[in-house]
Amino acid sequence: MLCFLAMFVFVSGLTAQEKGKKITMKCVNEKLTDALKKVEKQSSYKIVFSYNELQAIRVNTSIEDLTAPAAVKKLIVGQPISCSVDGLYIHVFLKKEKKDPSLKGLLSGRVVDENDEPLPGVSVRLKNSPSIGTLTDLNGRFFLSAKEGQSAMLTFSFIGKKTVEKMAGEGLGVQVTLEEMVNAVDEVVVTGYQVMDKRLMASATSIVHMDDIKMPIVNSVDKMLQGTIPGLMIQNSSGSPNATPRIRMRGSSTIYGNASPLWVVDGIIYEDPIDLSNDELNNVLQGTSSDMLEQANLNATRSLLGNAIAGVNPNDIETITFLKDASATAIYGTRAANGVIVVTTKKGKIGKPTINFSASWGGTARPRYSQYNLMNSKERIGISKEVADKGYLYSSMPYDTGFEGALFALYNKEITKDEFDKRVAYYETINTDWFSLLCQNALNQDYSASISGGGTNVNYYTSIGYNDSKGTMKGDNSKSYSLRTNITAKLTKDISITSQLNLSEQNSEGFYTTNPYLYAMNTSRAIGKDEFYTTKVNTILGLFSNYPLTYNIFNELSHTGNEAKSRGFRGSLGINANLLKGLKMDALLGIRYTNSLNYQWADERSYYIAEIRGYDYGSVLPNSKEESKSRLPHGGILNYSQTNNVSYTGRVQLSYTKVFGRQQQHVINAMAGYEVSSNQYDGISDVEWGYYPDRGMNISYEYDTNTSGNVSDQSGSNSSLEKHTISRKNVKNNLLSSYATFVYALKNRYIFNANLRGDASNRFGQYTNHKFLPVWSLSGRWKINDEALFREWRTIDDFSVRLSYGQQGNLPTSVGPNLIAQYMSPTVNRFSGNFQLDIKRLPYPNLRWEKTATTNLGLDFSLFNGRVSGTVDYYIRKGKDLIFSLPVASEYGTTQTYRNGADMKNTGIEVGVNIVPIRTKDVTWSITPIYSKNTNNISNTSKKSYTYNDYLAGNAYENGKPVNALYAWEFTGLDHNTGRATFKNCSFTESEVEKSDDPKSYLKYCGSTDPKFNGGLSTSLRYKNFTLYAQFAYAFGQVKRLNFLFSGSNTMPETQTNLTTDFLDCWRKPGDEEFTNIPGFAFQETTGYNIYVPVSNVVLLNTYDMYNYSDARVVSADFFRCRNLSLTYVVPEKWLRSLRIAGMSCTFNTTNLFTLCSSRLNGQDPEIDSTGSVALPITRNYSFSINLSF
Amino acid sequence: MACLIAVLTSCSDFLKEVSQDEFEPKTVTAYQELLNGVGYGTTTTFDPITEVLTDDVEGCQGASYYYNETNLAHLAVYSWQPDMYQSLADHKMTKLLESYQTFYKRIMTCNLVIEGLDDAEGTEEEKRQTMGEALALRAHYFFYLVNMYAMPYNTPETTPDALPGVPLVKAAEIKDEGISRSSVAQVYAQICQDIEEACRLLDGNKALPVGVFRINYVAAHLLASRVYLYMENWDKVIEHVNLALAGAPALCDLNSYQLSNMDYPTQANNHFISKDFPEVIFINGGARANGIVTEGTLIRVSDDLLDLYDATNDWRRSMFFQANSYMYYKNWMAKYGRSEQEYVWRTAELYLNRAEAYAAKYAAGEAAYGQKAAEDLNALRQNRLKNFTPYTLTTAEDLMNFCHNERRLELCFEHHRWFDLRRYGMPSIRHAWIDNTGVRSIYTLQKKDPGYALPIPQSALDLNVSLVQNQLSPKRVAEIE
Repeated sequence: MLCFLAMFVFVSGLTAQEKGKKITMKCVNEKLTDALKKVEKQSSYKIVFSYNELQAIRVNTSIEDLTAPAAVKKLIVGQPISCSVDGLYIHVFLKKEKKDPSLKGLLSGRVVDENDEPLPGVSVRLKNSPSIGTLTDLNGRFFLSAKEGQSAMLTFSFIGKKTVEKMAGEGLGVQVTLEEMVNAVDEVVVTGYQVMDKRLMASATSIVHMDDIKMPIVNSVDKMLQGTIPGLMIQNSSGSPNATPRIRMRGSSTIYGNASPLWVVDGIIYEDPIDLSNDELNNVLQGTSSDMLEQANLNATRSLLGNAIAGVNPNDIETITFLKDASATAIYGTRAANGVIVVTTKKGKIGKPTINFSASWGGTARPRYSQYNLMNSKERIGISKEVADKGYLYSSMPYDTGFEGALFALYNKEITKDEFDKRVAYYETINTDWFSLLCQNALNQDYSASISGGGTNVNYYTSIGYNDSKGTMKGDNSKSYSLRTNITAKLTKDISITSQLNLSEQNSEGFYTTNPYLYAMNTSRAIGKDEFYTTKVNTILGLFSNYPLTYNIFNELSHTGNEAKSRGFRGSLGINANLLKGLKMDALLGIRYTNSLNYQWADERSYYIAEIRGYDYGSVLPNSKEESKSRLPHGGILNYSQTNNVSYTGRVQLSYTKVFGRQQQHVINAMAGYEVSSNQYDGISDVEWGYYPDRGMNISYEYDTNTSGNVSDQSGSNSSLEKHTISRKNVKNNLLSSYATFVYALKNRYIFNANLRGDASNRFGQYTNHKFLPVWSLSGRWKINDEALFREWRTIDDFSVRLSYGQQGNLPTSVGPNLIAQYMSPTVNRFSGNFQLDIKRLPYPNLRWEKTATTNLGLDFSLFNGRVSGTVDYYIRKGKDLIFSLPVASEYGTTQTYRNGADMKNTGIEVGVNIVPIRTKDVTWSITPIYSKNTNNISNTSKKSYTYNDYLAGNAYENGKPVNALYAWEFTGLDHNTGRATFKNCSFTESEVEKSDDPKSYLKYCGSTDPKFNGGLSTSLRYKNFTLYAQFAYAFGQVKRLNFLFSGSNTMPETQTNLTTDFLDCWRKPGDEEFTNIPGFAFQETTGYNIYVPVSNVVLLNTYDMYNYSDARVVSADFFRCRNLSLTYVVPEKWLRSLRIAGMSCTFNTTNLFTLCSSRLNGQDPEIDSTGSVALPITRNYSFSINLSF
Repeated sequence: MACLIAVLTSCSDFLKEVSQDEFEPKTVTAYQELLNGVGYGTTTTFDPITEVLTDDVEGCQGASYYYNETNLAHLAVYSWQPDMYQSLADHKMTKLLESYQTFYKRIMTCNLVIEGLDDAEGTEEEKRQTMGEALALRAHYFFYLVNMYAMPYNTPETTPDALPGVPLVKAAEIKDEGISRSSVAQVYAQICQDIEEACRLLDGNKALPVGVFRINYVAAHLLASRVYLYMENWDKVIEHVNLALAGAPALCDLNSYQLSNMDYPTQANNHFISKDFPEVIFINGGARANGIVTEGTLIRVSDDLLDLYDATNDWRRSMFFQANSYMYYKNWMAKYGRSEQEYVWRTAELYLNRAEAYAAKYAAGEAAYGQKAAEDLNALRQNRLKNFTPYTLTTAEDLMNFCHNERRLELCFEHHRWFDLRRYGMPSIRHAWIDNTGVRSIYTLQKKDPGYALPIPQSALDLNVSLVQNQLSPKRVAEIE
């Protein structure tokens, strides 16, 4: 039955004064409509109702002296009718929960697609009695008989189409058009190759809408994902806007290969802009480089240039799909063993042009001393005084800086006691606030505008974006610009094309050779900000003077620089054609071009250059003997690198869908494709000595006759050759792939998927015998609640189980079975004149592919009309034949080798639930808890022995232990007499120590540095136009080492070094060991800080170093962080109408509001990966943003 | 599946391995270039410390700022301390510690080349040459290793098969397990086998010019003669010297030889350890950057050595040692001139090797060899002395001493002395040290001291559980004079 509601509006022109007029009347079995008219006549209100709706209702009531609204309310008491008052209007209408008019007899209709073509096989069911249903025939027709009392509301569903509900009628009945499911993202899975109906997929996938996780101002999407997706672990590496987080999906599946997931944007794989080998990558990300400064520089470069997804404006992203199990990722072949993240950008929607504009402004609070337990200047001087009073020895003469400088000046009778006291008093009170000087409360901005729309044939979306992020360190900036256009055009009925164009530019600034955060953390506050203090006294070979080198952080910052520019151009063109009935062809060509530039420089006024030069800037005369002996008498150093990354992907695929059988119950979807992709890095890097950034950026070439030709002579001079080194890199990876997927669905209830892919690559010297490794997967899904038994259980909307199994290979690129030679620089040996080659890679002839087998058992459920829905996945990922590095005897000419053989097992459970406890017109409350647990075990590493250093450094892969197992010396308190740290199994008496070959016997296992389980919780509460959203992330079960208490192992802390307040409570006299665990200063003894250790071939070790690596310095790194808290207000439309604004909302947002973690961390971030404090802290960020649409 | 593979393999061009900067070596030329780049070591220091262990140096007083960390770190080596590496590492002079690993890295390259040559494309002549060079280099490196880290072949009162040598790695295959030390005899057997084979191969390539930076047949025979000299296999020494001398450059007459800078020999371009010195058979290594140097430190050339030279007649005294106005290093060792190479193999050694072999045979009673030894010595001295007076044969003992002295005078600071002292029976050496207050103290290396074999670096022991450290002497304590 189709209701046509005729609306009668009765309007009387009454004045406002009469509004309060009272009504008295009596109705006996009177039509409600008449009664309402009477009320209206007596009042100044206009009563709006539908005559047809209310005509059947009669009322019996008497009204005395009531206002019009009260009178209306009394009239409708006990009727299925509601009313509402809006100014002078009273609306009267049937209550919404009215039953569908019932109908008996034959229902019929016809279902067509958007092109009016009949759709066979569409499932048609009575909405309230799902057990009654049918499928459409070849002409799209259906007939369905319904009993009396059953609703005639029908549900039409078909794979790949939006589900439609429509009232059916008799006879020819209803014509239903099912639209292609393009925007109904909840129902589809974007694999990058196909858009699949979620109901036909049996894989473990998660989808997140950008709107749900969006953080204003954050310039890259990877930083927004923490705690939002089950099974995805994000570790933020730093609080810098240039930081790149570490991402792991379902743990690590490889030891030596790249463990990061693959990024795919609109079907195109995005490669990293610079080519870092896996080991470089892992080193950089894990901070394993031994040299802190080198590490900082590496990090700076790496971060500044961003990762694959940098350059994609988060505002342009519609959804992100996470492909997790083998069944989901098999189609990507070998490269996807670590999961795939598929980003879908926004497309235009049919309708008039919509302009969206959003602007965000935010602030980040700088770090403060109150966050850290660092000494103030008085406390620091106190320690220096104490050391001096106790007569501890300095291992070398302190420089003329601070307290020690004054002390030695006093000893040398250069100053009087009075002057000394004055100087000390000055240092004690100076209390320089480095954090305030070096950090800033950063202001960040983000603007984005887009216009989208479309007609029946063309849809378009185009956007521009600008983001300016500043770090809390002055000088840590990132600016990015982006432009994107997505166009879809239908050329004919059967052919449509999509094109995309994306331009992006990112300009970043960071630090080179210095790290202000590290400086603020480590530098004594008893140093003036303008002070140039001596940190080193240099000698120059062949000259007979001392050259003190002085340091000032501001001088250093203004005379060094690190800039990176990354420009990206990405375009793609896709053609989709319907060839025959059910047969479709898709072709896609995508091209990416990324240009990354990095300049790192230090000029001649910097300390870094002074160290190389040998003396302070301006401290010697021009053309003096120092200049002639110096390695770098003039200018600074420029370190320049550029990488052009060109990649293209071309793909053609055919897909065929057929629906057949009785009641059209079989659905087959088969797809096969062929893909060609190429990825080329062409780079150049150059180190130039003699750089003058402030003199026209010239380079002063000095051909020193003394040293030309020498690599470096006795005085350490570098030859002219080495002062200007340029090298080029050109790598091209080609990949040919074929893939196929097959889907079979029976009655939409039993789903079966199969995927297969094979790759062949030109990868250099790689696996020639094993070039081709097919990757495959099988999976099935059973929609249990569709079984007759459960159909009547209306509370269950969906209850499906999934099972998948697949095998994948992984291919570490940095090792291979053949000897690889490399052209050397210089090409010709400069002594012999012969051509020369270097060994790039030793042969490891027995290496094979790493194999990963994944089994996934999943459950999808949806209850109470979608009020409670969720996914539970249990997986076992078994890595076999994993390549691992093995330290080997150095007699083999190398110190490590690579072997297949390690097995790694990741088991985990992932739960993602969405609960909507309240859903009314005014209030909606939803909660989304996420839980992931991953257990990672290594077995069969076949390595028998690791050194104690391997264990301490986390390089020991022990059977049955996690990959990132952390071992430590077991601290047993402080020695009563000396205050030195003591450790289990160690002793100050050599004879008491029992030597052992197995470090496990004397080291303590403290846990894993990877969390046992992690996840998040997001909740959103909407009341009318206000939405409060909170998102939390947590990780539990991991440990980490505290920053080193004291890193100088056998010397007194230098004057300029700050110490933690821990030292205020350090051991001072026998008995103190009862109260403190902080070792005392015991530096008067030259070797007394050592202890005898059980290490088989080491006699003594330094107790301070051991203390840093002891369990006393290992803490739980569990945390619960409020990642995001936001309040959004949607401005009511009626306010905006006159401004011609279609929609407007404002959001106030706070990220990282609080973090709950162990108090023992003392301000150290539980999440930031590297031990040591190179990384900037993750700090609180406030922002305000406005979204406008026209 | 089959058709999938067919499609994939059809596009062979697309899948062709292309790299601008790296490739899989498949030709003899490539292997030769690998040897040039990483088999030889034109910039590598092989032996940075042994000169400081000998009696050719002594301590001296320096100005206060010379008592800096770098120079003080040398003391541990100079005083033969068992923990000398630790002391160097503490002072971040790690470059001096890498010899052990450096040799094995080079040996790995030789092994890769030796194995790869079998299937490599190239002419027989090329293959012969490259194989010969690789074998000779491997022999040379093992020879260095066994002399640095093991007791000498002729250690008195024992036999070389009872002495631990160094691990023998003869294949490029990397194994997980550690590798234990072969005996000195086994290592020498391998060295002999390699060098004999190298001689045989390179003898077949006599006509091929390779230059002084690569090993030719003359160099191979020279090395063979040195190996046999250490083994005291006198006949073999004579045999190989004879073969080498047939192709070696003539001795250089210093009476007429002009250094490019006679006044400042340290600035000369054509000094003894340089490719332009006429006597050079083979030149290699890169010493100047990384070694312990005797110049400008608290260690200088010893008077003991300087006094041995005939101050008026011996050209070598003025050419090797340049007087310096600064009192604390009155003589620089100038033999390198401005070259950056570490060592040369040159004709003079051939004469000295053969003279010593003759002298030994003379001492063993074969009288005819006495005069032959004297002739070789005189042939050399004739080219070295201004007013040359021939050595006249007296006793066998005197002849042998004269041989040894002449060897010391000629080959000083060319990495021979320490090894020679070892095979001369490991005499006791006293090293004086003068601290910044002028106090002089003495360290002593005892006769047949275990310190005559250098400690194996801890880093190597850490990685190789089968490796056993040498017997270490206790920490040496200075006696104040």
